[in-house]
Amino acid sequence: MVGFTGLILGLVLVLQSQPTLVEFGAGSYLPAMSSISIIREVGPLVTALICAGKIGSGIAAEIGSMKVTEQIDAMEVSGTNPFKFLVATRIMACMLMVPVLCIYADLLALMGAFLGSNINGTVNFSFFFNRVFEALHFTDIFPAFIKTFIFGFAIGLVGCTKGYHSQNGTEGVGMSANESVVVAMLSVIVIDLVVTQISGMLGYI
Amino acid sequence: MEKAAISEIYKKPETKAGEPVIVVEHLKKSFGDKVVLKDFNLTIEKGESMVVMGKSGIGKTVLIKCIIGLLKPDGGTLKVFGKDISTLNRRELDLLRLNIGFVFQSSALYDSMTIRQNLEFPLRRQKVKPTKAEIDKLVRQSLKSVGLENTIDLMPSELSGGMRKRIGIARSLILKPEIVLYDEPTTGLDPITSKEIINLIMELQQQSHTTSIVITHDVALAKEASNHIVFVMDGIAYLQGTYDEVIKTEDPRVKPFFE
Repeated sequence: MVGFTGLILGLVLVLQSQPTLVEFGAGSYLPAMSSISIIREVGPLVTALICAGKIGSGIAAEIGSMKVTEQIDAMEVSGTNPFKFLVATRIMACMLMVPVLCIYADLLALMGAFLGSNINGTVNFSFFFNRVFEALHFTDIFPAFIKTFIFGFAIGLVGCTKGYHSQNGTEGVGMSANESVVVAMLSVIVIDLVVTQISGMLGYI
Repeated sequence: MEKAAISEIYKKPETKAGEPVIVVEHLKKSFGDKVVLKDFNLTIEKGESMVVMGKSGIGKTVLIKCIIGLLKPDGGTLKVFGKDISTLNRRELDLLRLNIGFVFQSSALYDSMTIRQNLEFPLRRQKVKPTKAEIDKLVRQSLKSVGLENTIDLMPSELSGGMRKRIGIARSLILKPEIVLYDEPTTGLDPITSKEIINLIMELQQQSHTTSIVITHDVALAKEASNHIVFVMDGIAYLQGTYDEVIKTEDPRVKPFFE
């Protein structure tokens, strides 16, 4: 889902911006513009929002079901710390996999951008990607990459917290999953804003 | 042989027959404005099998959840093997819990794991782990003791309610605990399966000489499994005695349970 969404977004980004850039005689900047938009913002944000919906709700529902069926209590009485066993592992998994998914989404979005460039014209593959990588600097990639770790942490933490505090049976599990998606998505957007501001203050923009 | 292997791994508390293993004094527990336990006192001696009875929602499960540290009491003292539960840190509480088995009303089997993994879980989560061969032997022995050896690779969702209860009991007993807390082990089961569970509890108690607290509404279970009955009412241990003593009571609030 992340890959397909990335591909389509890259394609649409180019199709939407190409006429305007061509009108101003800046058509040759299309690869650079798409790469910076995708790497800095579109890729990480869209990946995180999809993960917040898919993974966040899944974690909240799974842990919530375990909570209301006393499986978490059963872990406690087995002398196991459920926080370490269930929560810490899931947060770490999110922190590792959201960046990986983001790289995957970025690559497919760039492929989408290349395909989009070829719909209304002909752009050579090596020319397009040379321009893409020429435009990218460490200051574009580093904050975006760091941001994805923080997104992963937030998604895992919100999903686990909401699931862990589920109450009132199956209805409560549904509510936890729902709240998890809403809070995780809002967290991702707020983190995006904060990281962008901090990057700006540190001279990364 | 399994007993020896386990005893090397987990240090058992040293208690003698007749010594108190659980002492509850002036226990208080409320949920918001609702007072569940207001001045609960109870002493359970080693090897004793105590049945706790009372109306639904009266605080029986709250009592055993306080004993195992799943709920924090609002007041009073609760000592298990002479240790005050409220003063234990997380690690000390986890070590103490290795000597207490808890059979949940809902069985609480981990539904994403097979039966084998459910039974292995308490063994694998300890600091000093038994070997793979020991774990396998203990799992098979536990399943054999509840008569469900052929379910080892099934998922909990593939089992009936009675089978899940049996597996829950096997999982609780796999660490050979000194104390076993049963939360309504026969509730929701048909009379034949209930009888099987009662027989199983009796057999296991006779084999391992554990101290047990059984929460139940089931008079047949109370008769078979108890050498002491406690009636919980109004947040206190309202009435105590042997089964024969309790059934003779003329108290209008207790008598209907046995009619």
